[in-house]
Amino acid sequence: MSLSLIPRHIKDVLVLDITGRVTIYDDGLRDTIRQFVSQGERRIVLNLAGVPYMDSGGLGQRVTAYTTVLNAGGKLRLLAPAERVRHLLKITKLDSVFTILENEDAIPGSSSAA
Amino acid sequence: MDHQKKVLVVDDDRALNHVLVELLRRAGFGVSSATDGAAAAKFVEREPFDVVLLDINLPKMSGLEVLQRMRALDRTPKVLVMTADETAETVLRAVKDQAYRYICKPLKPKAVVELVEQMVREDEPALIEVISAKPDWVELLVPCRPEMPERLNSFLQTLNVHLPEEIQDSVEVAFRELLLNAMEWGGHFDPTRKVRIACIRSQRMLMYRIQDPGTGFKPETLAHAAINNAPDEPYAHIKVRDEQQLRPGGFGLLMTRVMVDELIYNEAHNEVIFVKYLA
Repeated sequence: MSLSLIPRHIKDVLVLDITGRVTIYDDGLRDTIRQFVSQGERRIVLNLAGVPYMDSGGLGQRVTAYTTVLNAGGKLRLLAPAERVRHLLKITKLDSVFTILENEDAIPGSSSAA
Repeated sequence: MDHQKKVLVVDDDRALNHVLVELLRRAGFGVSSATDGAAAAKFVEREPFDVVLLDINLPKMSGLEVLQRMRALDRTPKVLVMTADETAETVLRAVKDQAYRYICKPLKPKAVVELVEQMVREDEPALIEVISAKPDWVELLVPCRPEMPERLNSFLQTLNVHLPEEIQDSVEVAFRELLLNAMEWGGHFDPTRKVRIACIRSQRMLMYRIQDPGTGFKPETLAHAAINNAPDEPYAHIKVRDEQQLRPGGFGLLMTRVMVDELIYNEAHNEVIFVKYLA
């Protein structure tokens, strides 16, 4: 399945809904994040609920996206990764880098977020 | 699309056939359709197709026979085998007859269309040399091309569908990452160079061996790989990759080491074996 990235906003948070297998062959995320950061977005959430599989290249792209946003003074979080992706984040210790939100209510600024 | 790509849909399930034809037409393909093997064979002998979607259990002539006949054509289409037949014999015969991809039914038609779009973007199909096609010993010689890990994975994962999901997942990750390393670093994605792959199955384990055409590497010198990161710096290697203008990644060996039961390299590090125990 080819990768799709669909942006939407929850208040001032940019949510990118990602669907498909994230592999080295789909490096659109890096450019997309750079573009949004250059447009002033600083609070970004990657919704991974529709990502069944991620390879080493896919993880690398998430880290690159994370550092791009961090270097611009912002924050990038992950939303609802599937168990398989969550396992990859754990074994690569990237779960200590990314803030993982369990559902949309946990997005800062959403109706139920603290 | 520069010029309209042509697709032949071959399935005796008329409802599925109709849905695929309609979706492919809407995606811009020129689509023909057949509902039995004999009609499919006539189609491919009469006109060239870029992609053929081929069911296996067909009336009049089986999909495997159609696939075999297509090998004699001057211009062989990329064949996506789509079937409920997951037996090792069928999968391996499809590999031997140079099927391009294998997908198990039930299908998600939209996903099939996306796969066809991906297939037409890829280069002309490269030959997979089959050294052994026994279900318990599959051995292949494959050129170093970027699409090859996904292509091979579609066949080899089908051989594992009866195993627990955790084992399937671990083997898929390990195989893809190690094969990608072999083709990218060992073979520099040079299609004239080849990687030798063996998948050996016993009652108690799966063993994969991947031998690349490179000179090997020294693991301790891989500053661009996550295996050498300090424990409190899980992505330190990404900076090195940026400086060296390498694509994002570098987690493959780390992921593989955790997901398999044994990972053994030869001295030069241009050949690797991994083992996953089944019990």
